[in-house]
Amino acid sequence: MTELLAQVLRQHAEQQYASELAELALVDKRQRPPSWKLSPWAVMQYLMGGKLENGFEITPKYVGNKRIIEIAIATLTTDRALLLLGVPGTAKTWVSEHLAAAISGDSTLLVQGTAGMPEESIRYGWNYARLIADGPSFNALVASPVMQAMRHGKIARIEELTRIPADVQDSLITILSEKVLPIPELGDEVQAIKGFNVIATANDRDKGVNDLSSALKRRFNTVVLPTPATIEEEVDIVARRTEALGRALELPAEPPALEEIRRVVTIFRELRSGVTADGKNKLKSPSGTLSTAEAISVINSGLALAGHFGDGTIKAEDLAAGIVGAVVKDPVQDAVVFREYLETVVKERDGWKDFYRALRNLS
Amino acid sequence: MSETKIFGIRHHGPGSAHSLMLALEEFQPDCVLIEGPPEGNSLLPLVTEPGMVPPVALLVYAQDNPRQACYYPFAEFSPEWQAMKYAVSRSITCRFIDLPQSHWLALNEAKSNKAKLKEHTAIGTSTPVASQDFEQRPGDPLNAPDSSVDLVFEVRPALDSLNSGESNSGESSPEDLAIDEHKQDVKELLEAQELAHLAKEKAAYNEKIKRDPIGCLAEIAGFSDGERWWEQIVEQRSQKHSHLATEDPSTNYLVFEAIAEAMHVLRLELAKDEDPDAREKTAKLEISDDGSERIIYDEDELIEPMREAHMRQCLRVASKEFKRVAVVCGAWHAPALSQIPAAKEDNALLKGLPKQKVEATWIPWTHGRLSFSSGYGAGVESPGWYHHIFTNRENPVLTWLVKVAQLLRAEDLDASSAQIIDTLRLVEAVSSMRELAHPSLDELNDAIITVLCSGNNIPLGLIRKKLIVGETLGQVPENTPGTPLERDLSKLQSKLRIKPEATAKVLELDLRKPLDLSRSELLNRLLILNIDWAEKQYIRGKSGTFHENWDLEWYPELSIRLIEAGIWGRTIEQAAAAKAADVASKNNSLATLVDLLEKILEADLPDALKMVMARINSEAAVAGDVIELMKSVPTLARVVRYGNVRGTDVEAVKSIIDALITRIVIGLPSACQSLDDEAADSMQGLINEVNAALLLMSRQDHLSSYRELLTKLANNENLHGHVAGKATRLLFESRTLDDQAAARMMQWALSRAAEPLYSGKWLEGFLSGSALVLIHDSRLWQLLDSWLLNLDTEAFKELLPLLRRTFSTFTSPERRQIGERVRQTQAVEGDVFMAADEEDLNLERIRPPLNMVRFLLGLPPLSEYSREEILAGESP
Repeated sequence: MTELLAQVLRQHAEQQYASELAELALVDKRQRPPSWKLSPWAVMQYLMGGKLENGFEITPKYVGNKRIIEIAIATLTTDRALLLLGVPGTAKTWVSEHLAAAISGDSTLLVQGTAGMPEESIRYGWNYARLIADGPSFNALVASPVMQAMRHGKIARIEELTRIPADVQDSLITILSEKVLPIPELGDEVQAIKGFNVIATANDRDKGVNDLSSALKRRFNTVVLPTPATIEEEVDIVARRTEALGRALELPAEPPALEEIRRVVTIFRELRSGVTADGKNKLKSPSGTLSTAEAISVINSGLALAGHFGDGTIKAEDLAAGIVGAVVKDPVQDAVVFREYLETVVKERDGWKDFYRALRNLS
Repeated sequence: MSETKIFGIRHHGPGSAHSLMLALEEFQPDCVLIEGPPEGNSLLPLVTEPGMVPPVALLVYAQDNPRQACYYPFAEFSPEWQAMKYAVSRSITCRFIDLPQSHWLALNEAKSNKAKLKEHTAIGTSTPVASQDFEQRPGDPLNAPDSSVDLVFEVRPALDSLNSGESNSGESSPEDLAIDEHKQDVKELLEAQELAHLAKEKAAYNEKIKRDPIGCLAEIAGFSDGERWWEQIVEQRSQKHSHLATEDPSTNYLVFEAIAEAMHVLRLELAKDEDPDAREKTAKLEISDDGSERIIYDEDELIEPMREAHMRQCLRVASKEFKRVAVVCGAWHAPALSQIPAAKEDNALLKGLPKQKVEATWIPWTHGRLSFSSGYGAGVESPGWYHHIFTNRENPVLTWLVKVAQLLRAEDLDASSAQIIDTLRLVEAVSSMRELAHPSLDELNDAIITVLCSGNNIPLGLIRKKLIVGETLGQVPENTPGTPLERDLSKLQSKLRIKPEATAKVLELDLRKPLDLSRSELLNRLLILNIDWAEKQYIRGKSGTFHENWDLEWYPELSIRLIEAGIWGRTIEQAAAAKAADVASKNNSLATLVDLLEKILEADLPDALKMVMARINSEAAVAGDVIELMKSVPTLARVVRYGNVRGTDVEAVKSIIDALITRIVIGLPSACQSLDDEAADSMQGLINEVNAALLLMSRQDHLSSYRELLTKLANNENLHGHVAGKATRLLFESRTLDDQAAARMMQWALSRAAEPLYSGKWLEGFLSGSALVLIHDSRLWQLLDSWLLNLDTEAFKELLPLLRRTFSTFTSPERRQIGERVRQTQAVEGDVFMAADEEDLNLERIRPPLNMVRFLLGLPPLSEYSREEILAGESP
């Protein structure tokens, strides 16, 4: 089993951090809400990291404002559902997965929201062979992850809530307010067990998404996940994640020096905020979001390049392609923006010559 | 022997106020002593007057120099205020016992005089925090040059908080391990800071710890800011204590006893740390100065001991008179008052202090000014919230949420009762997660954003402004003595002989007369202070430069504004200058600054003038927007042209204009590219205004470079027609273009090659806003007329809509006059206009007026000259 797990490309949070969860459960003497595997305090510890009384080190899963996570966890202890909102790449899915893993020990009850999603994905479907053979019964029912979560008092996750068509979204209203899922075909219903709740994520950047109806909005507490507040925080996130991912992907390169990460993050932050890091010059911002997640993937692809085609240490050339790809989303406008940035900012900066040359060759 | 109890409180702490009320009730004192200026003693009975509504401030100011002053603000939830009310309503003796401001202000003045004399000595390091703090805050309303205002609480609570924070951890250490850790942390911090202080400059260190000690401590304790930390640790704990106390009333005083004890320990600790400093400083001064000066310098360090000595002396006096004495003071002073040394030392300390005549009064204060954001350093961040928890002790959280919901609804934002319930639940869940006994404002705000505002924190700004800080304005009873600013105004009013009257009246001023000039200056200064007693009328015509008409009307709100303006200074002139300087420092828009400059010149505020000029200079240097630059030119030109009427120095303005014009000439052609109709319209207006401004200044160099620029614009076919037309017109008017050239330009612009829309816009620009000129300037008339006559039928038909459109912008009387003129011209059916007039001349009838004119010009009468000569207007 463990060998098989090691082969898995990406483990679930509750698998990857099983030992941390177990240690936390051992020390956690505080009151746990019904069906919760840990107390809210321990969930908090799990997400923010820290040292336990017995000396066990918990790795931080979310680097950022502790208050945000506190509010998110506190919301789940009430009967309101949690909506994580933010631009792409602000660790919404990441936080929701870890919350579900820590609270229910199960982050797999997941509904991925898509534009063409039918109601069945949220409520239930039918196993038609069974339905025809035996007639309608619970046995012929195919339960959705939400229904399963209700039955077992667990956390259900809904990704990209705003991409789901409005009428399908609204089927959540009964579930969230009455905590019940009626099955009219059977004249029966599934009532949620204590501990059931929903964590939804949505991004507020996409145009043309299906905005939540105010009836549904009212059933969610909204927590906005911001982009990292300081460069140190962001460098920390990128360094942590690239290291973990590099290990998972077994990349043959050395983890990048913090200085390289800092340079990539600086470029991303400057272009995102439209101001140079020293706050002196205004810049134009490209159309992309330039999220932290993209910075991580730039470093990762750089690592892959360096590992497979280079000498194993990451260089400016390895990163350049990724940076240009992340910044220039619109081939005309963004290219101009990036060119301007290169010539006015990167060129002038001390010790950035290699970056400038590498980027210049590509754009 | 009388019984004395010391109540060490936190200034503006609703928790301590509540505990204090309970404790006073229990103690039943017959005398209450309060840390405050003794000059205010006579004003104490006003506290319970019906017209007195906190927040109010006790203002103490030097009689002969109101610039020296000190404010002691009190809110409903200030412990001192509650103590005053307690005493006055029960007719118990109540006294302020702080060091009298008469000494304090005198000391400050002596020091600032010294500082002026000897800026190079060590005095810089020993400037008290209050005035330094205040010099470093450019936005501070009180930051007037060389004024030595002292905001007392600004210094005190900073230190107090440091200490009572410590006190709490000390006091509760046996029962709580976590708190014990805090204590460790605090100790570590003090050590760390001690090290840092050795490494860095001593002065910088002192300043830092004094300015924001809570910040440093709170950071260590893991709180986002000092105030929250306070709220949590001090206030909540004292709530706990008072809760215990209600069960067993005799324990009410225990809180204060414990605080005093902890303070005592802390003072000892701090004294150890500070000793070497003090010695070092004294040593330095001994070397650099002679004996007499040393004493004065020493007083900077002795001001704290002196205050406490004075408090002790008052206490000694009171304990002889009364049986049960209650002392209400900042927690920091509590230990100093509980152990009373021999009176001799104190007497020695207070002997021979300089003295100054001071006056005191109550003035209305606002919650906004109590808060940090207004630059009042000792303030609390959330006076509105404090007031709320002080007045709603039963269920502060729920009532607060209801208030928030009502505010949101009033602003058309959703906030249903169900949402309030959800918010309340979240608040409870979060505070139990954070292991808090009572939710604080932080938890409330987080929950409000999450539930009521759907993650959007913009409404929170509204909540902060209206509720958390609050807009409450205090009131003072009518029989309160007047403020310095009021006195200054009434003095000026009687000196300048303008009485405030409720009925509107017009005041005509001739600025050439000194009295009228001072009147105008006063009115302008009041306008800067937002006291619009008078409104200036716009005067056309040539007398406008030295004539001003003002509509005067005094209405009651102005008195309030006058009192509010008191924060800017103690005289009208000083206040206006401080306000203007503040506005200038906060504004980056060149146009606003230039507007302000004009106002300042009119109000004659030389102090502010320098500052504003410097700001304009620096803003003009970075302003990239030519339009912005152009907007500022007309005002500056007026200043240069007419500034001399008021005797102001305009050389500096001239150099600013020089720089502006150069930049405009460079930047304008590119700024005129790709304009839409609206932008082109405002652009041609600006071009016209700048032209007029340059004509006004009649500077040939600027005019010629501007005309070159206009030529460039007129000849650029890619520009918007409106702009090109205007440029051509201005060139034509200034005779840079002769008739023929202008006619050619017009033909080109209106030819068939040009877009009809372009032609229309060009014509609009060429003729815009000047029907009168068209009527009276025969050159222009003929140019247009002959162009029109030479159009062939087809072209005329095409252009007719455009012409109609242009002419429709003229007013109907103008159009009628144009029509009449056309008819006249046609009636004689000739193209020689003058000939028609000639025919109509009646020599007999024209002679008398003509002779009159000649008489006035000093020429001989006309009778014997031929009609040709008359017409030619020549004389022999």
